Amino acid sequence: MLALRSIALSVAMVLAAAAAGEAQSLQYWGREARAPAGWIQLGAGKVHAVEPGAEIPSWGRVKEVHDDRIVVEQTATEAQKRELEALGALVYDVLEIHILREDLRQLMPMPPMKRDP
Amino acid sequence: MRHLTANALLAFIVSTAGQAVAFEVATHRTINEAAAIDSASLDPFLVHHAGLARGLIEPLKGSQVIQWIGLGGVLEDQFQGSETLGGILRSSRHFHNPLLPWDRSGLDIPLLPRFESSVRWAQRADQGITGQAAWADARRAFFEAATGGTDSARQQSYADTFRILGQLMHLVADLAQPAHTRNDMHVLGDDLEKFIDANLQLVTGFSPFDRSIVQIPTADSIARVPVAHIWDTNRYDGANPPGGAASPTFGLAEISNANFFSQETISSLAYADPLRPLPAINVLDLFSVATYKTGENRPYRGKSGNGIRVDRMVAEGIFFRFLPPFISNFALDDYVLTEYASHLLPRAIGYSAGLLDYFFRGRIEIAPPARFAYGLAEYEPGNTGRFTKLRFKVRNATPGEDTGPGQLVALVQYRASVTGQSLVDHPFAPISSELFFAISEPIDVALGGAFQELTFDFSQSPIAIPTNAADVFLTVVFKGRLGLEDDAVMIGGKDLFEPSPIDHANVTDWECFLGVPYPVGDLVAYPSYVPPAQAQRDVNRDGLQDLVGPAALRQLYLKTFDLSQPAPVVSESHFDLSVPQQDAGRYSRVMVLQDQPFHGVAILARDNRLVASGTTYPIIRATAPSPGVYNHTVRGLSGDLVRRVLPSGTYRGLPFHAGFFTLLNDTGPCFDLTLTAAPALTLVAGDTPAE
Repeated sequence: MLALRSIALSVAMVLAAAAAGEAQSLQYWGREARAPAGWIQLGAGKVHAVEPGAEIPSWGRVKEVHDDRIVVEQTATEAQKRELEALGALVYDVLEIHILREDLRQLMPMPPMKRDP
Repeated sequence: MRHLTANALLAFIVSTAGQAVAFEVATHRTINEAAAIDSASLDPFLVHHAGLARGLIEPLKGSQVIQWIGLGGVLEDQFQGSETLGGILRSSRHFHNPLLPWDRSGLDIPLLPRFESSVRWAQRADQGITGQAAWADARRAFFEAATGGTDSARQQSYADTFRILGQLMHLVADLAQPAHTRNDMHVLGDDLEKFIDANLQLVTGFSPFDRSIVQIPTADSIARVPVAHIWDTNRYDGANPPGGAASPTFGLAEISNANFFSQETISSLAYADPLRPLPAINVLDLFSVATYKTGENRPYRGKSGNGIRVDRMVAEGIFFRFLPPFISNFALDDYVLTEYASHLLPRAIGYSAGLLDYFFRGRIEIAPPARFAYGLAEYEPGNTGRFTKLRFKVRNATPGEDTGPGQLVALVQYRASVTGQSLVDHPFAPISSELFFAISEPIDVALGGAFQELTFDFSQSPIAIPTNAADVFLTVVFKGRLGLEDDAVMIGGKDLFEPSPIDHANVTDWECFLGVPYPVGDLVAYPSYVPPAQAQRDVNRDGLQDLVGPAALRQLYLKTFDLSQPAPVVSESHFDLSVPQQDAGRYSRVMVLQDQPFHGVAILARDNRLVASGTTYPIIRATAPSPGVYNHTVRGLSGDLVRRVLPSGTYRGLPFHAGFFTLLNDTGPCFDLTLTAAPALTLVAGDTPAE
């Protein structure tokens, strides 16, 4: 009899990490306990805290920090508005991007199965 | 012929009077706009039920909702842009004496036929050549707006609705002008109107009526909708002038007729004139003497009984004490008019706001169906699928008013991707400024207070509900009897989340061992483990098989559910997506319309086996929360338009929002190392349940 490792299929419920156009991915790791700040990771960079009002390169200004998400916003420039209008697209004043907390990713391992060939 | 002569005479009178036959246009515009702002229900109704995200400032055909309401206040006095013509053809119907039967309570000018009262004019089915701006016209425009097939037509119908409502509010505001309720045509202009127009800052305050007055039938053959009681409850009989806490239970015409003088109707003796029994000089008292702005001291007479307390009902004229008693020398000076305005303008605003609230009172509540998802659609490559049916619960949620039989229609409004790109793949892609509308087949229904679940068929809609849609808003429109109103129109709305892709991917073709991913889906490189000839799966050469993938999943089912409820038992008869077989490197997707910021997803994979060894694997069951996807517009705090986006991510070439990924043992910790691994995941189609 050949002993095999226990194996298991596991099911990961994966929430999308943010990706917007050419911007580096932005991951949100949750809110600081006492300060109105949240922990983010831009691309492969270090995790660091940002507060409302902080600028995140190519993403925009931090508007709100919540337990489950961080909200960044970009104010549309007049040039962007003209471009949208020319396309027949909705002309908005502000683009608000909601990044869900990274640890909302959930792994749910299934019970391992012993296999005996 | 008599009418022709009458109109000619009236034309002369009106042209002589200039434009002074009602509150001035600036006053009406200001009252209407104040009422729109103070309406308890209008702005929330627009945002949460009608799908007009910016509420009162939503642009419709170039003007905002509030501007259309204000414009209506102006237009009611006009015809073909002329206030003189408007004065002849419309303003002459802006009078109502509450002490007369409604068929005789309009403006009465000697030698002329009596004009129709404003209470009937507001509900006159045919207003003639001067245009259609009666209650039923507003209802008709509202129904067309709510069911409009194109953005342009809908905007025009909503603009018409608010303009007509503004015209009806004009009639209400005029009731706060005593000249309009005391049959005082004020041919040479009215001091109160001129005074307010010159002092628009006085247009403030809010004094509503008791809503119970519009729950009583009218018994009139023309003014049948109880909104008429905003004008006149028929309770003031000349001896019970409205005042104090009871005044909100009277119509506005009753309040102004019974409590205030107009310039030409300062009665000397109470009850001497059956049409204007009160107020009267002989039941007033000397209340104060004040130095008027011209320098002289003026005695003011007021009343503390007989209705509303008014400290300055009239001022004694400068020659009062030197004139014989049969010559009246009382004046409504600026101090008097200021106090009149303080009583009447809050009521003009409050009663006008009440008209808006009454018009938009009908409420339909929408709730998710028992299955949770409003809509289910199989995913088509490029996100080109569509929802053909929606299922949800509805009920009449109008306080205190039952509905009769009627017809229910559902509409889904949305914005499209301008470039045609999938909004799952490219959530920041430009979305259309134009709204699109899918409309269901009508359903005959007796809408009750308890929820009933209905299925709305959109398969015949000229405009489909695409899965590639943004800014999705659901409305249901009911036309039928509501309370005492026949042919009422009710709307219920729900801001649904955007069509959400719910995915399951079988990614067992990559397997990690000790933190290193291996492409075990390549069965040539990783054949079945038959040592010692085929030992590629024993990575660390310890005599034990380390890699077992890939796996094939059969009888796979996905089901969404409400997280506030227990997770459902997913089965072959209870699912949102059924996939006969999903091999490794494949994904399956169902598009879901739902209304929760987070909802649950449950999966069942009933028959699973490892491909290389043929070993069967236990049933997989799992549940997890999944976010609602949004890509929509909202009104910002400063009234700006905000586009709100939840971005998607990408795994092995698959843009996704949330999904189940079935992994092999130990692969979890190095899952991120496979984010861009080849091959890209490919779609294997599944089936949604039959409706």
